[in-house]
Amino acid sequence: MNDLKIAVVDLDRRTVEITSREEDLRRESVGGAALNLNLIEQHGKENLIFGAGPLTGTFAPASALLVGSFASSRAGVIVHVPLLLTAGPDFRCSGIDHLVLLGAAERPILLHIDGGRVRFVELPPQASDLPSLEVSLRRSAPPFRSAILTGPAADAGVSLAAVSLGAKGSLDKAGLAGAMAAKNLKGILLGGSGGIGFADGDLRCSLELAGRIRRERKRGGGFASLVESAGGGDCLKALKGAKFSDAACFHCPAPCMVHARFTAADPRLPQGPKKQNGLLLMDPVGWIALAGKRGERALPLLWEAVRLGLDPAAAASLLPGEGVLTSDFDALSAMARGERAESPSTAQAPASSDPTFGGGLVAVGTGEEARRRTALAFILGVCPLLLQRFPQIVVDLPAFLPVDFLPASLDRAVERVLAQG
Amino acid sequence: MAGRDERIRRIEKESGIDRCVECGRCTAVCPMVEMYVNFSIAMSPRGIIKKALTGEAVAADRNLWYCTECNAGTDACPQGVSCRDLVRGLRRLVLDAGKPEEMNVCPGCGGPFLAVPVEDFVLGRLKDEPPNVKNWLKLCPACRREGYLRRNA
Amino acid sequence: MQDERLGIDDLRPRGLEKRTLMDLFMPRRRPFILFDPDRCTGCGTCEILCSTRNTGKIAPASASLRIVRDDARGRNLAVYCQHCRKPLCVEACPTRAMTRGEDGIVRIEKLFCTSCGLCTAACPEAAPLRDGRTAEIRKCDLCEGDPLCVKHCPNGALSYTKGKAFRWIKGVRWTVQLISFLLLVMVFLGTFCYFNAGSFGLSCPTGTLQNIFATGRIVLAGLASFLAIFLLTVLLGRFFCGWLCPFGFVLDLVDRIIPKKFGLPKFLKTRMAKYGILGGAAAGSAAFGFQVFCTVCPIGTLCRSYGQQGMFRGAEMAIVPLLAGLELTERRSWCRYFCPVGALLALFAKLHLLKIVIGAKKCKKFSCIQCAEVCPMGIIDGDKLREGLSPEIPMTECIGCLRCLDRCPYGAAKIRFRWQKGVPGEVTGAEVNR
Repeated sequence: MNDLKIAVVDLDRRTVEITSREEDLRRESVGGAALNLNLIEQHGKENLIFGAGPLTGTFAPASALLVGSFASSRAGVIVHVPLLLTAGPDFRCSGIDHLVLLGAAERPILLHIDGGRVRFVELPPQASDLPSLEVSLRRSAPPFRSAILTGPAADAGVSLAAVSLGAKGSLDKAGLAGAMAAKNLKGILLGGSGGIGFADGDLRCSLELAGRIRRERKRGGGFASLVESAGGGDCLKALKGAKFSDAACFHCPAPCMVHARFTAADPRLPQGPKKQNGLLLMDPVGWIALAGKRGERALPLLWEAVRLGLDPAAAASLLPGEGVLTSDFDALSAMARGERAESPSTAQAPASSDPTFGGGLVAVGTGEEARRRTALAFILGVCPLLLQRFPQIVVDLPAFLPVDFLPASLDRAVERVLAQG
Repeated sequence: MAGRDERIRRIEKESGIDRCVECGRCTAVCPMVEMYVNFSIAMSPRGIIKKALTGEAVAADRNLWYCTECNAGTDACPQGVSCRDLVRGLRRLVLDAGKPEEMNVCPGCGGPFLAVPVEDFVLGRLKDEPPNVKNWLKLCPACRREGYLRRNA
Repeated sequence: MQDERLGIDDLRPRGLEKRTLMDLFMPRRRPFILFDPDRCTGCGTCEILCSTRNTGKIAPASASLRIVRDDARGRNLAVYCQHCRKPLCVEACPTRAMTRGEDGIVRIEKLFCTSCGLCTAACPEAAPLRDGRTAEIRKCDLCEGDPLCVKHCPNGALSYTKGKAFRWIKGVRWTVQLISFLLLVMVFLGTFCYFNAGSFGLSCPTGTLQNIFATGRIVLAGLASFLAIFLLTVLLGRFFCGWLCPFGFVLDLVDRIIPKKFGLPKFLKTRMAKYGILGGAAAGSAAFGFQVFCTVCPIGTLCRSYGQQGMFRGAEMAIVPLLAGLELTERRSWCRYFCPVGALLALFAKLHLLKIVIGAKKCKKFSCIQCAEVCPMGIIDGDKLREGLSPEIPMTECIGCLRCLDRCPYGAAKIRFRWQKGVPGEVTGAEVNR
């Protein structure tokens, strides 16, 4: 089985220490959120841990999850923020399984991880928003497959700052961006040039499972069905007039995101051919919050919120009751500069989304069983939404684990994660 | 000036050219022999390494730009000298000071693309292709892929 | 998804070396990987699978295919080797490590490859990829006939197929051409120039034109068929030339039997020449009072030659093989440069309702160009296709033979209404990177 590589980075002293931990840590905490908890206990509550699970980047379906764990003063518990798209596999393919961030850098800095090594990278000059930051990094930094970045809102220390995967946004509603900004960590670049081992039978299992999932998912499901599960069915009207393409995370056979192309009525928006602009809709909770308040104008506003690194749900709650597009844009910019009065908690999001898990996950299932499934996903490193939408595949997941995994340790790990909530 | 010399010193050290025993294996596997009619020892990896060792102004040498950076020489070297690291490092030095004549830039993104002799070789081999294809090939690979992404997807 | 039964046997059947007679008529079609951007969700499963074959691990940075993403438009493109029929990488490789096999697969011979990357520099799509970790060059090799990426693509964006070429158009067309030849030459004797069965007239538009100029009168019967052909040509283009013309049938036969072409001197290769001949025919008819061109017209010679009423025998028949000999210079060179019947039909076709487009989206661009090669009128701009652009096909020259539709394995050649704009516009190099 793969060695567990843990990188401990001291941002103060700029040191990096990579250890290959013995298997007992795996046996005890399995991985993902549970192992992150273990590391937090070991190194201290003021620290930030990123961790992948044993199934991340394997042939398990939607094995895309990277978990960012930290002690949130807002929520009062240790929260785990899910980072999807390709963050998890790129992280593991960069050669490490967990990243412990101690202390704080003296000036904003980036980390570049590849080949099992962590390097410090200077910030490129003049990056005013996330898209330009990413473009700039593509030119100046060592090559990377994906990046976890914070936007200008995080620089201003605003509590409604959210982390972003590249320039696409994320499900961070718990303030992971704030935790990174507190350590002066502007972003993590994932080189992703390595590989992850797998067992012989995994390929066939993956094909079978993907076939079953595809047969079960509803036609045109995906983002719309998630929005409906979150109770925002009437917000779907706000999407009319846009063109959609399905988008999926790493190795996921059941896309739950869409890319929306809409007509860019505002000259401030970058305009492609036919005056179109586009963005990835991956955050149903945020979308519902904005669409509920602004209806059809929600798409350009979401685009702007993502650009500035703001949590769309919290931003929506701070928007005045009425407004036009230009004033809303100004309001968002003001929020990103920290000039807006902030609400004390993230509880503007629908009550059904669990703060332990970042506050951004749509609650497709409810009840204790559903929470256990989510915790399981966070520990194994697969997408929690897939497990909620297709609960029957939970029994198939252990097939992708190495033979020496004990089910008992999995249950124990689940209890641990839930106990913190 | 002193900073530049220091950088050259560091590049040379990192490529390990002190270990060169002049066996010539790098030149034996080097594809430049097949590429250039005017191939000379001066542009071969062995030649560049030798010039660097004797302390001459190798960064200013035109012959620096014929290499394709394929790394076959490094693989063949029994002493672990990396001719590619040397050439790359020196080229980076010259590029940082400003775009040299011997380097083409991609018309799409403006980044350095192929060295002039290398591009001349490639386009020379493709001389029967129509001019618009040749112009297209002046773009760097990333820009070409993006171009097809825009047209075909 | 995969066409049933496609596998290694379709790529490298036993007895590949032997060429049979069937190969002359139905060239072997090899299967290829087709990418449909409308179905791609960007999940990257293809990269994962490909990398497992390359390295034995899940390492998307080491795959032989890459997903390129446009985040603004939300579209993805799979970049992989198209196994071009005339591969540029093979030309450029300095150590001759790149070869195109008998089975059509372009392979890298690892023994000779130095990973210099000149193949990537020569490939218009930059399909040979550098491994993110080891920096060696990797390229799709169709998994030697059984591609993994296709098997696992969850949304069916990648398919392994022999293509959607119609293939039956060819059979129908030859049949129609043969029947038309028999009818016009042997049954309706002396027809196409002038046929009168009762009150029904069928006459060649150019002949009618010359008749009008020669006699100064318009015969109603002739006018009816003139209009009929006019209307049909406006609707369907110069379909007469491709499907009905008996001389065209003769030319196509010559082309099949003797494929070798000797080329024409440049000064003769002007498409306007046929309009000049048409004008000359009209003027000559007016001047001399009889249908000047009809006397030497190869179509007419054929039509009027047969049977007892056959007007031309012996020496006059020499016109047909003489002008058919033009076929040895260039395909359908008579139709392209000299035929006044075609010229008049071309004028009618200027109002064409339909057009043929080679859709740049589905077209495999530089790697294929089969449509340009197979077009007898040579009006598909292969150079533009090589760059990935959709060429404008002049419908005044197109004879509607539909060989391009028939041959295109990617379904990129289509018939559209004149006003339809399905094809994406040009993107110049400067616009590539915003």
